[in-house]
Amino acid sequence: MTARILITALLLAHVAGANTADDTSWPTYRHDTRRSGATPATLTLPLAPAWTHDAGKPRQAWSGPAKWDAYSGNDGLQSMRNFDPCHYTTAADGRVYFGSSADDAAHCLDAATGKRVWTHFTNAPVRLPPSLADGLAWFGSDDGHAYCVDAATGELKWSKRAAPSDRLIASNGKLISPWPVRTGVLIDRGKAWFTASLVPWERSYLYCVDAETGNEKAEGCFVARHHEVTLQGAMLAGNDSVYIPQGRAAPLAFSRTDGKHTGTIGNAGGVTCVLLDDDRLLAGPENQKSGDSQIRLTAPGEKKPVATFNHTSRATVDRNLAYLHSGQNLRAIDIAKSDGKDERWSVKRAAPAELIVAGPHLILGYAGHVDILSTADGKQLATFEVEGTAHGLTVAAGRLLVSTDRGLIHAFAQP
Amino acid sequence: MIRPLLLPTCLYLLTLPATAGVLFDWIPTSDHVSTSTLKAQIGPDGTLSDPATFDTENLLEFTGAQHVEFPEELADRIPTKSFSVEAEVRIDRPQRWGSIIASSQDNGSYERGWLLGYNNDRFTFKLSTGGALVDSASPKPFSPGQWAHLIGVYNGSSARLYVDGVLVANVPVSGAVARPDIPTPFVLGAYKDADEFYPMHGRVRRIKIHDTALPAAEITKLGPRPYPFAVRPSVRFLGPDSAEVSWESSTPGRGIVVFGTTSKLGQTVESDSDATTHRATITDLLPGTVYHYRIASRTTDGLLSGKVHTFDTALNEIPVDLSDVIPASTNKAVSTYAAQAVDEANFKRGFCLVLGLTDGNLLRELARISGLAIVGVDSDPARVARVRQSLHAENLYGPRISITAVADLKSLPFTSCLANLIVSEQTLAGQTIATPRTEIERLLRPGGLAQLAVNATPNRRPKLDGSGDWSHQYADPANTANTNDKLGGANSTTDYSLQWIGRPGADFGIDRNPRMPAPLSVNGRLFHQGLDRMVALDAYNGQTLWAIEAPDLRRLNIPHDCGNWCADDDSLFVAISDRAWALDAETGVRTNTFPLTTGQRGTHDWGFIACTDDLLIGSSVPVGAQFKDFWGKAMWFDKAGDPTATAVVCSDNVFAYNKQDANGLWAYGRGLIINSTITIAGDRIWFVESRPPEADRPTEGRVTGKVLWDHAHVVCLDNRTGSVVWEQPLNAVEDPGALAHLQHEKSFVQVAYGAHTKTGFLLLLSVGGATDKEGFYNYLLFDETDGGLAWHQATKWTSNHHGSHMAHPVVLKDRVYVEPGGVQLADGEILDHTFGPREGCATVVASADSLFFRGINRCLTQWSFDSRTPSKWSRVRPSCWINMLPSQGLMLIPEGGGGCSCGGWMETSIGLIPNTLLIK
Repeated sequence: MTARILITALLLAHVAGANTADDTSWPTYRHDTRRSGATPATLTLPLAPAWTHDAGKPRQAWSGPAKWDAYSGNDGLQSMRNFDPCHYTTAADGRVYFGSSADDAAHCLDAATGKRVWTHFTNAPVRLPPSLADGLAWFGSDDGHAYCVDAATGELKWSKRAAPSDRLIASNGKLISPWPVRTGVLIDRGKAWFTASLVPWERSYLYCVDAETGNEKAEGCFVARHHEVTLQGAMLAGNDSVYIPQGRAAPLAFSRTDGKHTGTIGNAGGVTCVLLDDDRLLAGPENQKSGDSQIRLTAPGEKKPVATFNHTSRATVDRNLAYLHSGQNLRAIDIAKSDGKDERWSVKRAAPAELIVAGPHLILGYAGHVDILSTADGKQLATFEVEGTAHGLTVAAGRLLVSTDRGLIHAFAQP
Repeated sequence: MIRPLLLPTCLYLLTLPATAGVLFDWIPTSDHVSTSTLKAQIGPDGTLSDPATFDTENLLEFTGAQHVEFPEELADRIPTKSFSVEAEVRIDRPQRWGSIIASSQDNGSYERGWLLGYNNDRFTFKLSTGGALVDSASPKPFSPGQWAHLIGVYNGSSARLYVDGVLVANVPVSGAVARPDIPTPFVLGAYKDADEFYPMHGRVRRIKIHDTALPAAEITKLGPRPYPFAVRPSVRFLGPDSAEVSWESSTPGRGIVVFGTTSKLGQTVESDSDATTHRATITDLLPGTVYHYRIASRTTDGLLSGKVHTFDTALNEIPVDLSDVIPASTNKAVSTYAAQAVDEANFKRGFCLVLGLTDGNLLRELARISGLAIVGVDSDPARVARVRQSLHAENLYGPRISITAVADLKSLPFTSCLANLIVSEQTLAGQTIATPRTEIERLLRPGGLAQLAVNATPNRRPKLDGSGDWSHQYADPANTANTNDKLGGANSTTDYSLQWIGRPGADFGIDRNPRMPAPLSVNGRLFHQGLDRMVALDAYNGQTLWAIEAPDLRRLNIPHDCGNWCADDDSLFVAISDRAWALDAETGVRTNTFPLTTGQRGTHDWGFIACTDDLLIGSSVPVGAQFKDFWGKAMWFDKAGDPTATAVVCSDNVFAYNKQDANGLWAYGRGLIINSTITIAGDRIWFVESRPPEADRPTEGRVTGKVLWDHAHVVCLDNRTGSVVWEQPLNAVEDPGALAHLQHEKSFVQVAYGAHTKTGFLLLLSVGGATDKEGFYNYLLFDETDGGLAWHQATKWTSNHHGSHMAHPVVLKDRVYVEPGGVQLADGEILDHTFGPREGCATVVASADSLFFRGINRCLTQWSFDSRTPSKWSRVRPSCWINMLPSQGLMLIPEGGGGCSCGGWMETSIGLIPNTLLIK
């Protein structure tokens, strides 16, 4: 065990980095393909409101969770499928991007002014933000297609129907494919990954295509078919596998080589997933058997979780430190050296809806405000009012972007 | 008009004058709790058992094991022959042994002290003068989560309990209260004695103990008088941020809705009338927010006030009204065409496809004048982009108006049976569209309308061949649990495709909708109940038609009672409190109410409900008889032989109204009519009525034990007159073997159902206890004409838990299915086959060709009569009774399984279409 911990410690370097355009961009959902929520980019305090964009109230794919399990006496159940509570943003090259479940489009705004640069409509909701690299932007839509557009102009480069048919059905007042693309598009090692999936009794599809052309027959590309799965929420790129959440079922691992199912992360669940460099997965909630939220740290192949954190539903990991809310406290925990009990600091705070790290700052989203803390000791440095609950946080090029459940995107910048 | 709150937020102030006579006074809020100490207003402080947590109103949360203990000797200061205990309290979870404040021992035969608390859902005041604790209990249940003002008064000769200023129980008892002579904790927020500990779940605003027996005249002055409701309040959502509260009062006067985002309330809005029918609109509602509200009225005699209820805007799916946002079209051709199409189609909500675009103005006008989701469809990328951009620039694109880009208009990608209305902007401009007539017909939902040009003959799609309705609790008034829907010949779950998916989801209902009323599906609509709420959807596209939150709607334990709603093509009839509401099926607007007779109002609630072509048939049950609780395993009512799980709800009478004008026609009642057996077909009504001697007759309407069956009669009425056609004493059936299980001295009836079959009235008695660990379904078929027993049969339970011993029969033309098999209707012979595997709590329903139940891996399963094999929909969990309807030509599954933590269920509503209907 000691040896394993040592190796783990040595392996853990920095979970961020993959496909990052530069240190000041935020090129994909939660910054990187391991969804760390951590960036080396920094903010210079104080910040002031720069602009606010009203993108329309998000139309989430799923309703909230059951209120309780009355039979077992559990209440306070948490949603396991809230991957689209706001218009999450990505940012690079002076532009801000988001997908919209309100108007079925991908959008690009000028980062300095918040003014619209382009809008690319699809036939159905876009639930996760475009991924950015090499001047291109990729996103998926509930219309069953993956799209690649020029990041500067929104001009279509390619689109790929991932669904096996073009049939559209009704869903919450919209028309969607029975095989929506709800994992977003993951860009990694020159490949674009996405899925077409909704209900487990229909076959689901995992695509790995050439990122630049959308060609599924290019070298190393494939389409894998899977039964009894419901792939949804942002995909994660591991060393040998890609990991895909399923919401109310356990996340799955698929081979990077051929897309075959290689494992089920049985100790995990939900759509809050952070993949460490050694492919341990921090994810949750696993289920709704207890009333409290719960995030578990799971090692590949292990039947039992390495660590369990109660009363928490979101986490961010910067190098060897995980920041999460547990009990009534926000905690910084060294997860490289132990089973999650090596606490660096702990401060009493309410549970945030989202949290990220930007250099020396830990940023927390709440209902009505965003707080900035020091990563060194958890002391609060600044707070900003926002309208709605701040589910989405992005730091890029010195700006803090806050997405709320009211459909607003607030930008804060140095005055 | 919304005004700042002018009324006191706490309407049940403990306002007894001064402090004279008050021995103890505690206010368990954050202002009065310091670390682990509850500081007293009067008297000694108390000690908290756990770290204090407070809710948004700063009230101490009695959750987990939290309770407050006072010095034991304090209880000795309370006079033993004259005292009063007063509490303003909210109980969130009923429980068998519930205490608010007590100094009591209840250890076998050793019963001492006193207690103000609750047993299950009834408040109680108990005390002992040396013998057993005397129980002064409310005959009516309280509503979990509702505040109540309680006073227990002992005056040396009786123990009285007042709830909200009303005397609800008065039990003679004399002598001094016998204090425990062993160490006995004096506890707030839990029942705790020498060997028992049951913490309370809820809140306490204030608690006082007086050293006198408060006089009745003084108590009745406390708090407001109850609001005089004639029709209980409900909330109908009007748009994403607005809702209408409606109710009726028995006396005229302007009403007020006091509301807010916490139970402190904080805002008011007045009703629109000084008369008795009231509507008040609340605007600027926040999304995803639980609102609290109460109805109140100021009179010259003081304040009248109703209870605090809630509604949840997270469950509001009503689309935005654009009538004030979009300017009326100045193009007369556009406005005329749009108005004509919308009027002719006569759908308030749903999907409208606009095939072929020009400038999008028809989309704007259709969105302005209707509640439909408008979907433009075009194959020209440039035109699509142009119209999208223009709508987007006007902030109109998205929630109500969208455009689907298609490859061509000849063969469209939409699922079949989708659109309520199909029009064309290009035909309005004098162009033709490439979409063939057959394709348009395919896209129309049954009942939907295509109007492809002004003044063109509209084309309305007829109902699907072989489609069936589910209009009552068990499909029809005959309780067949069978729609006879042909489902397009689908015999396996692979024979369907998704038609729609989405809300309502798991947050809509009560945990797995335990033993709740079934959804209904009639005339292209789907009605579904959740936690004190109901919703209507378009059965073919899942669009929300309307949503109503009704705090008095809830009814559970349907296997031992009956459903609370039924529907016909135009109306939904819902039993709420002491009347039935008729709602317009398309809009949810209440169009009429059917009250119980004057003599039964206040003492009875509306029980059974069914409609025929011209009648609304109902029954009345004593107030408090219906089941409302859902917390805990016992609320699944399936423990074999348990008195709680075998109690049935009985009506005192059945009656009929003219459905159209609400005129009463007749009423009948001689005994206790078992609701779960009431069955209607043609012009007949059948049921089991128990007629025990008056002295033995239970009066509470919730009856358990042999008394019910020892005096049972099977009765057949003429439903046009209410006159008896025949009646048959159950114990007098000619074949004594038919009742062998029932008459066994240790037997119990787990459930009893009635159903009409082609060959007579079927009484199905699920009887246990006659032999160890075994139980039997007893089939008794009575001749329709004279009530003679045609045949009887018995089959064994497969188990005595979940639904295996509570299955409702499924009636086909020639047979009846009851797990695991069934019998022939002609002679009662046992079928040569069984079905399954069936698991879990849900019961079984049927289409023309299949059974549906919770089966393989506990997923929704179809079992084909033809192949006699099952197939499943993975991770689709039925509710704990019925939420799967083979109806309208579709398989409709409004969400009902949410809350179960025993698997990764989909927790969403689903409509499935037979693949045969998708063929272009």
